[in-house]
Amino acid sequence: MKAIQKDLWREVKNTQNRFLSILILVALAVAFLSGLRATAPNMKRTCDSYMDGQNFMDIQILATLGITAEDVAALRKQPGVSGAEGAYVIDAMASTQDLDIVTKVYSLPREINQLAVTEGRLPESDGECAVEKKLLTDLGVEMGDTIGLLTSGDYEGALVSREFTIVGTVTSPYYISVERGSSTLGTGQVSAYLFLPEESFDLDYYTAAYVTAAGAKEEVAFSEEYDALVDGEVDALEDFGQERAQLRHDTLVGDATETLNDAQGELDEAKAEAEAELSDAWAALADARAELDDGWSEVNDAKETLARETADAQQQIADAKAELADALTELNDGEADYADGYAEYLDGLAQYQDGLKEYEKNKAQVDEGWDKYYDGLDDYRRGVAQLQSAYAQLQSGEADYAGYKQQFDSFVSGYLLPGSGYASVGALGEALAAEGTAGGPVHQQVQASLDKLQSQISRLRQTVAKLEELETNLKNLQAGIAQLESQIVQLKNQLAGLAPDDPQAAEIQARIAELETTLAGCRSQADALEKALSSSPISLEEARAQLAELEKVEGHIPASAEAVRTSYQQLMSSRAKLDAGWSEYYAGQRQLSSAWRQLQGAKAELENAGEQLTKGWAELEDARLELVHAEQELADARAELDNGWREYKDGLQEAADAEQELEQTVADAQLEIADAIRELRSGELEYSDGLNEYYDGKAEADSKIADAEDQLADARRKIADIEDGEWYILSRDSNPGYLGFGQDADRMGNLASVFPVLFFLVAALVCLTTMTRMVEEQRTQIGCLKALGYTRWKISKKYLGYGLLPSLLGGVLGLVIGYTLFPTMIFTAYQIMYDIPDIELHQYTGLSALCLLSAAACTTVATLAACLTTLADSPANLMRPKTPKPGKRVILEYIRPLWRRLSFQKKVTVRNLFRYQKRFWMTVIGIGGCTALIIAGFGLRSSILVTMDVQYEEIYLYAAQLSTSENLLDTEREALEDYLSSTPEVSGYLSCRMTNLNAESDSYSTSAYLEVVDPDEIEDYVLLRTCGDQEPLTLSDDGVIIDQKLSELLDLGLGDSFTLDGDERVEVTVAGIMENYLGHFVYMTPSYYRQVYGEAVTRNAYLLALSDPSAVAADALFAELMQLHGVTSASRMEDTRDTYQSSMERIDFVVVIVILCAAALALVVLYNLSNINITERRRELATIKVLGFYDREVSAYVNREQVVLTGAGIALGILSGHFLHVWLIHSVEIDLMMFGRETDPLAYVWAVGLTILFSVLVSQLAGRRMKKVDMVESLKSAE
Amino acid sequence: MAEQGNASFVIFEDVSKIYQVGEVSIRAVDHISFSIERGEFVVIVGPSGAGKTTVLNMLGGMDSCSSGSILVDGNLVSGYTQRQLTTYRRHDIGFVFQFYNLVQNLTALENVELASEICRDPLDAGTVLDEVGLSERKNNFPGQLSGGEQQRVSIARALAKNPKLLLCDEPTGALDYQTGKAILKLLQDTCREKGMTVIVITHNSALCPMADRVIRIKNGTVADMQLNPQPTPVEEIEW
Repeated sequence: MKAIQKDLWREVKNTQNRFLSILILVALAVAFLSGLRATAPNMKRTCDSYMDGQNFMDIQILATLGITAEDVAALRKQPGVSGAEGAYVIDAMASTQDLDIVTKVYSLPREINQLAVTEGRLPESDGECAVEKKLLTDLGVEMGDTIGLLTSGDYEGALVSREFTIVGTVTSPYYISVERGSSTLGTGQVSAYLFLPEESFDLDYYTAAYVTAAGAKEEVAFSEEYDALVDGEVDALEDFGQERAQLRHDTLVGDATETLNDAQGELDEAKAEAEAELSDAWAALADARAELDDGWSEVNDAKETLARETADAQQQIADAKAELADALTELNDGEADYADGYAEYLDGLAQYQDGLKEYEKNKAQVDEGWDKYYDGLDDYRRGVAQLQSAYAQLQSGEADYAGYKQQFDSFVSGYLLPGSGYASVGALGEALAAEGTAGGPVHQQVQASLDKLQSQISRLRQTVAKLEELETNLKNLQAGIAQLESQIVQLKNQLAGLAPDDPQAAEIQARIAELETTLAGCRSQADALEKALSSSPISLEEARAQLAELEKVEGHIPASAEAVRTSYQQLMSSRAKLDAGWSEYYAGQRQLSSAWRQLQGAKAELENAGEQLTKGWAELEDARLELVHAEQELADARAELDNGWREYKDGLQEAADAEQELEQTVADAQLEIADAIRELRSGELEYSDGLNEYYDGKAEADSKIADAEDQLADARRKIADIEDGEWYILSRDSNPGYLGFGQDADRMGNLASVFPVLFFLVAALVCLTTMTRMVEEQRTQIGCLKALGYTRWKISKKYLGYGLLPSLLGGVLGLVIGYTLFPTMIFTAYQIMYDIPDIELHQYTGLSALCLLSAAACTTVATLAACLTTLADSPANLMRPKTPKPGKRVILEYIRPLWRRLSFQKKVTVRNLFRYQKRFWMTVIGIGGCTALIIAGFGLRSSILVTMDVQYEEIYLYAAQLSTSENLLDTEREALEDYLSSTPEVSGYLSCRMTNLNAESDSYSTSAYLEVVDPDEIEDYVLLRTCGDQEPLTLSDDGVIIDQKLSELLDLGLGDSFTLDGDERVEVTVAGIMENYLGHFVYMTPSYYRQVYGEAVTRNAYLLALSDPSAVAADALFAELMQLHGVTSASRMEDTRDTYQSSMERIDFVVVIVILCAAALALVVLYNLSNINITERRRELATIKVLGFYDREVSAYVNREQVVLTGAGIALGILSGHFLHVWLIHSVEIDLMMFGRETDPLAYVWAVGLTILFSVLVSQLAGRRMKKVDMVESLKSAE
Repeated sequence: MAEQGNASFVIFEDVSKIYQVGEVSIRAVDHISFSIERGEFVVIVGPSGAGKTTVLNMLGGMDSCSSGSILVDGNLVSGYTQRQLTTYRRHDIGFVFQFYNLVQNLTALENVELASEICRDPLDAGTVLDEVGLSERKNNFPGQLSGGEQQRVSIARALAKNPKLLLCDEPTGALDYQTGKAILKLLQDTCREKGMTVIVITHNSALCPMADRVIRIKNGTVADMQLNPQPTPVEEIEW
């Protein structure tokens, strides 16, 4: 062995403490890393082996309509399926005399899901069962006892027997967790499971099928490979499942329908038969009745008829007799009347003949009057024609007269009257007439006016002629002038076209001048003419007009004044003649109209007389007819009377005969009637017997038919209820135990990811400080070796070796401890929860290598870091004692007032802290880690336990819970509520609906309780508040309130919606998130329930507030409650709490582990620190001892530093502890629960207290070592 | 002091010290007896391993004797418990080490205070440092001082406690000649000026002339003790 190696060994030997501290720390770190990391895979492998050993199913198939043996056989032939097996699984209430619980009852497995028998044996025949151990404790029974199994609902009658003897206890791989699933029975919570042989089941289909997948056994459960394989198989079976389910559905429906149809047919037949029989019977009865009735009515009729007829006959006889008497009187009267009538007739005839004579006389008078009337009328017509012609003559005379007069008047007034001195034509005429034929002045004057008129006319004729001439001349002249002017213009134009010196020009100009001269002459002539015309006293036009007017009257101008006068006189006499004519005309007219009136009067009179005549004639005719009639009547009456006499005699004879006959007939009829009545009576008796028989028969048939119809209706509804068949093909993940176990294993894996890192970090820091210290101590030796010619590598080998040795040894030790202790310890804790064999320990090469490499790396890197600086120095420097690291001023010193107040010891502490920073961080992180771990550990514990306190003391305000039957009758409900309100022990109750169902979102699905409660009342029973700030929440119709943990699992926020999957799938909206720790709840209002489910809520539970919640009082109350109809279960919250509480207490184990880790960490780190302090400052300590420091003071001198470091570490720990706590909670939390997220202040107290305790413990150890420091050290020279 | 007039300040009477190393007993000090008067400057001289450090340890309360009695100022130090010994060191003894043993992390002044803060009747640290001639270096760390200066700090630390006895273990051992002389001068002046009893342990017999009393130790026994009525000032000593 080389000297340097010997040196290494001696070094190790001499510094055992240091060596061991590295070794232990590394072992601890490696143990933690390997142990925690190995736990998860070990758990999974253990589970896998167990599952493989029990041939646990890979796939479970549940079918809504059950699975048939054919389905299972077909399933076995599917590719990728290595085994398939059908099983019966039903829910049943297991009961003893005083207890009952909900159980899952399975048929014994054949190959898949094999059971492990823990005691006794498997059941072999009907009436035996194997149970899980929990059932024994839950029901309080033992092996060999008999329990009752009661099925109901879908599985009613599914079991052959009702009583089963327990022959063994078993465990099933199907139930590795404490979770037993849910049921439709009782509380909805399954308590235990048990197994029966297949023959105990009376079901024609399997309720489940278990499948093992080929090649799945070779894969480790929970591994990705396994999941992929099984998921693939699940997908592959999906189509097959659909096909089989459809087939099953069709078969079921077909069978049921066939049976139903048969039954229906039979029923119909039976019904028809019964009906036919009954109707026949009824018809017979009816006939009988009718006959009887007829008989009775006949008898009655007969009686009546007899009576009536007898009476009638008697009456008739009496009548006949009376009639005969009457007839005799009548006949006698008739004879008298006849004689009277004949006398009357003769009178009437005489009157008629008188009337006829008078009529003829009158008629002759009237005819004469008419002749006169027609003569008068002819006269009148002639007068009218005369009058009309006179009128026409008068009219034409008037017209002639008017024409003459108008002509005369206009002439006289136009030419004679003006200037005559007479005002009117009349006056002039009168004047002329007055002069008479002899003439006079007036005549002369008129003659003059006539003459003057004649001359005026001739003068005018002359003037017109003269003026016409003048005008013609003027027109000619003006035409000449115009011609001239145009000629001149023409010439001038010609001239303008020529040159001025043209010889023609002069000629033309001369012409022009000539023409102009002519023109001027003409113009002056024209002017003279115009002047003459205008100077005329009367214009041409006027003259012509005056002439025309005069010429008009020219022809009428009388030749002389004589003529004028005669004209006038003629006119006057015509007028007088006309007027006389008119007055004659009017007189004629008046005469005529009075004649007309006379005529009319005569006519009316005649007509009247005519009418009277006609009337008189009619009267006469009537009288004549009457007479004829009377004659006839008289003849008739005679005949009648004769007849009457005859009849009378016959009647007398008839009456005598009838009386005799009647007596005989009545006697016969009475005899007949008595016979008929006897017969009818016996018929009635028979009939009523028949009727009773009929009714009995009918009632019987009806009830039979109704029963049969009810049964059929039930059967029909059942067929309708047959759901669409569906196969649920589920992987192992559907098994809550299996899934939970995998999640727990993963949680352990999570835990393994942080804790070891902390330890490694500390281990590395400790190695670094230790090795640095060691290298520094051996500085001189290094220098010496260097001086002797050792290479750096060879020298550093010693230190690397020194570092590697404990890390490898510690690593191996750590692996051994880690691989065995940790998984076993942790798994033992899990075995409380999981029914699973002991853990298999495995070693993982990769993990081992990682652990050892990390450990080695820690020390090697630390050692190299420590060595390199030292080795780089020159040997000479190294051999010289190292100039002590000079003291340095620290920042604190510059704060003078503060610094001055510190004692020198504190100053030393402060300076040291700043001086050795590696140590500072090592210690602070180590202590911080320790504190944080303890906070997390205790925090975890309190989070969980506080959970229970808050849940059961603050959130659940009710003391007990009552479940009622799903279809509680109203009367039962009333009775129950009456009882509850009248019992003093119950201080309040709230009725609600509580069902267990699945809450699903896209991200997750878990089971939860739906509670439908009245929002006004809930606050007294359950506290709804938010997490954290604890704001109260109110339940509204906007949505549901769910618990915090559910919201986290399903990843829901306010306003999000998710699915509730129970009997129906409905979508609900989150309106609030409440604080709740245990289980999952979805609270909703009844109206919201109606909104989403479309039906009113059926309440099936009561929350009770009890005045005395103690177990004794509650049990007494429950015993009474359970006797009420419809109450299925009652539980005390405190009991539920206890159940959970005990299962919670396993968490203490985790807390202990965590605290042990923390303690180990703190102790190792602190011990290391004090170790370094003591060895490094041995001289210093010796010196102050010499200076007279007491032991206490010496410890304080060193410990003060530790105190400060511990303080800093604690501060860091407190800061990080909360986060570690929260992380830890998330890692270990299970789906069903939410742990408190707040870190309990007590956890901080514990953490600080324990850390200080560890620190004190270490300083005690250090104090002991310090006492041993020899003061003589102070005298030695520094090495 | 009157009542103690006839008794010596320090009395070693038949003191032995035996170290047990494994099976072997090593008699480091063998029945030593001597006495020292108050205010004397004493040099204990002897070769290495002669037992002079053991004597010093016992005298300074750092070690207890196996047999015999040690009286200091009339107190039986040899009968003290560990705690009494500590109190004795704390109040009565000032110690000057060969390698100064200053706390590296404290300045000169603070190192002096380290001692003065714990004793009953200390001198002012600053004043003491002035007296040892380190007025200018009070706030320097030991690493920034020369060996002589560090030794002065060490002496100041011992003096600041105002001890009954000043024990110096090879105070010049790590110092060069001149510095060593200066330190010895400081010690001699302290003795003369303050009437302090100073005991210097050295292997260098050249220092003997400067002492009032010289105790020679050889093989664990007192070989010779002589009084020096006329001590030579340090300046005149050569070695």
